[in-house]
Amino acid sequence: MTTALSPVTAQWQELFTLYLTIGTAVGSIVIALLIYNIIRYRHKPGSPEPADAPTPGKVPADRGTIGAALILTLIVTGILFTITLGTMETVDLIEKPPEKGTMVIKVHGFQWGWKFIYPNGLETVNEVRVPRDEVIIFAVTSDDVFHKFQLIEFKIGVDAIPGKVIWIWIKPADTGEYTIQCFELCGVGHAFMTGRLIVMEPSEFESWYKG
Amino acid sequence: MRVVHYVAVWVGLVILVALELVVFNAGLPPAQARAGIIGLASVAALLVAVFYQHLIREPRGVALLYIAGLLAALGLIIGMVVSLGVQAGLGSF
Amino acid sequence: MEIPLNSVRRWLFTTNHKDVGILYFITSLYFLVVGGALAVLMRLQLMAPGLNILQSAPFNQAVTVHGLVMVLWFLSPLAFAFANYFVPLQIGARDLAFPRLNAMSYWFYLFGGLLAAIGFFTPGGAIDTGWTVYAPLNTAKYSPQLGVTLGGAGLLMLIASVTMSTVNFLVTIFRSRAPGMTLWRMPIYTWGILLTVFMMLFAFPSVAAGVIMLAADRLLGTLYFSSVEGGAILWDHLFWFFGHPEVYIVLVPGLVAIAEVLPVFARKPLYGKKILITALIIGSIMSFMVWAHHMFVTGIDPGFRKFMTITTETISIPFGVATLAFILTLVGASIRFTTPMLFALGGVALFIIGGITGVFNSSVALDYYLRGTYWIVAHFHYTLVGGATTGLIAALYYWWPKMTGRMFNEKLGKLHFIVYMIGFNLLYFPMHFLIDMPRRVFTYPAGMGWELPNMLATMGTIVFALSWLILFINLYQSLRKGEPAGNNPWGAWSLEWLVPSPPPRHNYDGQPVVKADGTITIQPIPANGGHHIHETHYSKWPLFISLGMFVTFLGVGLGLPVLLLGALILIGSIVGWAKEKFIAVEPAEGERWPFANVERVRLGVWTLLFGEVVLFGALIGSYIFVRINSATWPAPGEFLNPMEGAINTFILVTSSLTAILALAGAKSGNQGLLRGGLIATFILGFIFLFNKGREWSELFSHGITFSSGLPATTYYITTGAHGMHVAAGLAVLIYLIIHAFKGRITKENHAGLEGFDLYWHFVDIVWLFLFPLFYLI
Repeated sequence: MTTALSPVTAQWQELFTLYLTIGTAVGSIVIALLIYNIIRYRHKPGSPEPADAPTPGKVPADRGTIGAALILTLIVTGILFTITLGTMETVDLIEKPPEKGTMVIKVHGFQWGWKFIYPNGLETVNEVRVPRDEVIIFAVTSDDVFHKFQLIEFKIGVDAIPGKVIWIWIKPADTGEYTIQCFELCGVGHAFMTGRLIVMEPSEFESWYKG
Repeated sequence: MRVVHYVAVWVGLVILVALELVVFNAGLPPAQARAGIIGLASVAALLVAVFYQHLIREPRGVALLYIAGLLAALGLIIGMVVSLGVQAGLGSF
Repeated sequence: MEIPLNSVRRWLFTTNHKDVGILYFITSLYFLVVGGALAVLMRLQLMAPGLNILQSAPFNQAVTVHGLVMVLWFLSPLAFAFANYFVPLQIGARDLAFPRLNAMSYWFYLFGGLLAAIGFFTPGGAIDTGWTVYAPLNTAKYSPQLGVTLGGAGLLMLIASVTMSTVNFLVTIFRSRAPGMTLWRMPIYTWGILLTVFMMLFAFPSVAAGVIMLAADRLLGTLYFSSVEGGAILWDHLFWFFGHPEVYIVLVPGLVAIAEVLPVFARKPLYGKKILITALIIGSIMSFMVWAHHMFVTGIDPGFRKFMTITTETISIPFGVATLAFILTLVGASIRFTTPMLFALGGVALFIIGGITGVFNSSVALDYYLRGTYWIVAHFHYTLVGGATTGLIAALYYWWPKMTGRMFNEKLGKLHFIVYMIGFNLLYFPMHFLIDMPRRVFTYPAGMGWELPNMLATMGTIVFALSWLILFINLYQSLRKGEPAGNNPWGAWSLEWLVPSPPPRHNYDGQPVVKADGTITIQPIPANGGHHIHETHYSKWPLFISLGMFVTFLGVGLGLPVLLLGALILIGSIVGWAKEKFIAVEPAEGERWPFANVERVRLGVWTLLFGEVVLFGALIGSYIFVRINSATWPAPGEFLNPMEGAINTFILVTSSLTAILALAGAKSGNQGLLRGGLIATFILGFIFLFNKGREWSELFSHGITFSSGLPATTYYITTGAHGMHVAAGLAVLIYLIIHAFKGRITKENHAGLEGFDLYWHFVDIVWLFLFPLFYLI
């Protein structure tokens, strides 16, 4: 994975790693507990039945207490809400571009491609060029059906919905070519609804944009 | 319940619906008129449920499930409206 | 009607819950094979970049039908195959409360599935919008083909089937429990089904409203989903308000199947049964409060999103508690590793993985990227296949000896388990590494690093498919030469194991009773004739009504003659149903808390109405939603005349009075009041509809049609749906009036009328809201 391609990307990866770490730890512990119990309490030949084993024609007695339930709940709750705390701020970062006076590029999804409209009226299709190290806002909408505008390497995307405009932003740290792809089934051309995001040196971009 | 009770409820319903028309024609500010009219309609609906559907006699479980359905419906409606957020505004309503 | 047990007619006309259960069982496995074959085709296409096994259009149809069929026509119906067979047995009942309705649920389910699948043979192919049928791709403009309309029709039939089942199971569980079978004592599978049908009751009406509006958009030209004021977000709400509870509707039976099997082979009681039930109740309620997490990146209100984030994280708590309860059940156990136990334990392990990846999705920040990726595909297959399906396979092996009277081959069963686990994990685990790959693409470019996981997943698919083959071979062999199972091969406690395998048609030669100390006995039924109660076990009308519905829906695509033929069959068989003498015995006594005094039919109608509240809530909510979302809206009185609405309101309110007077007449034995009240109700209802028709035709003559903007769209469809309810009420009234004049509605026997009254007053209540909402506000 590319690291810190954009502040949003870094944030996303950090958060994903956090979830993955805690998730893997919790999952491993729980599955280990399951396997431990399975092995430890397996039936051994000749061993007697547990005293409260199910008997035909008799409703089994209750087992387990409210206290145990409370402890169980608290453990699970504690783990979950620890993770939650990390989440909320990241949303703000994703949704609030840090600088003013940034470039807003309108993105129109259509069956099947992406149209980009720059502030100066310049229009491109399936290819969008942006300068490095600048905050770029994509104002995403759709001209026909439901799409999802996704910048794969940047780990960010948003739904493209007719009649709605939703903003996402990036601040690309490296020049290069990156993949744009539609992530919501939109008809027979869905698989080919891709595009390129080309990050250029600011000076190169400037001359391209003016020319 | 006796026939006379049912007729009394009916009279109440007719009055409530008539009152809705009165509020409608009273020239109140839209927000107040809407609240008043929906309030009257809710009372009328409650009358039908309690006396004609005999909710008053049914076990509490029936009323609870009725309310559960109502809460689900209201939850959906409120969720739909709230999801629109501030940008849509409530101007047209 | 008596029919030989080995005849085909038995299976066509049966109303017995065990027969219907077996029909569900076979049909759901048939749909599994359909959905599975589609999955194999898709995985072969995706095995490597740039293959041409399944082109784009057929791939989209495959991916859509796979999703719909697996969730709605395989998983839930398999759970309900067991529910049909075992819920009445487990609570000590002789059958479901409404056996004919149950048979009809099955036929609606089957014909609905055929409608959805028949699209493959029409020009343009089957429905291809994804199982979520997102707007506006679902509208006629972007998906004009018949297959989408047929898919919608199939969904409507399934929703009708589910609604009938819901009513049936709720009334059965609340009214037909054996004496001493209190709610807490019910076996956990029955508990899970109870919670599942509660979720179904409130979830399905929302998507029903959505599909009705979609049908109106496609067939009448209304604008719900083709307009931007409704469109994508409106569908998202209606679909996911159903769709998320649906996830739990599918999951809960799998979990409780695990909970049913674990204690039997652990030889220990379920740990914290009451805690588990409480957790599942909380989870079921909360499943209605998380739907917008499917809409996190659609630009909805941030505050609303935060609320849904918190509820989504919270809902994993009850299911986490359930998982821990499973693990704790094993403490102090003496575990027998039979095939059902292996699948139950495997189900727990796989569900843990799926549950944990689910927590990721509650994060809005992560969702910005995760939505629409294969990560999501991996997550929900771990829960719905790993958790739910594996649990149901455990149930299948567990109950197979009871259903057939024969044991299966343990060695083949264990082999099935091993191949299943290898295949499953090889298939779905690599998908976690396809976090950059979009769902539902039919091909992908080389060089993105997606080749290896895709190749592994396809290998896994083959292995996984083979594991099912092992199951089918095992079942086939068991039927042919399996060892006799005896009554209770596993040493289980619950009631179904006290009777022979398979159980006799009437289940119990007597009345099961649970004593205070928990001992279950089957007491002979005293006096007149012992167990010789003459229930009816056959009716041809459920099949014919469903067939009529099926042909009618086909007619929507094939033209008027077919539609009329369907309507004819439908009406004829409804009349046949109404005239048939069908006896379903309700136990004379039993546990009925909390509905002891609510008679069977009345409770059934009540249950239906609880769902109807949500149906009209969704219709009204859609109206409010598009209205708020519209820049302009006509002022009250601008296109509808408030006085006309008011007059109709008075008429309908008065018809409620005459209906209740008719009931009062029946109860007091006053036949004049009864007959007069019914006729007056009919006339008033008819005038109401007549006025509506006049109003509509006047609007049409002014050029205000279905597609004249959202005010017209919402008015026509919302009041139209209400009008259809009035019309249905009038049809029932004709039946009641005939009965009243034949003197069959009496002081003692007026359950049908009472049910009608409840319904009619509900229709009145709906109108009491529609009138001000459309005419005065």
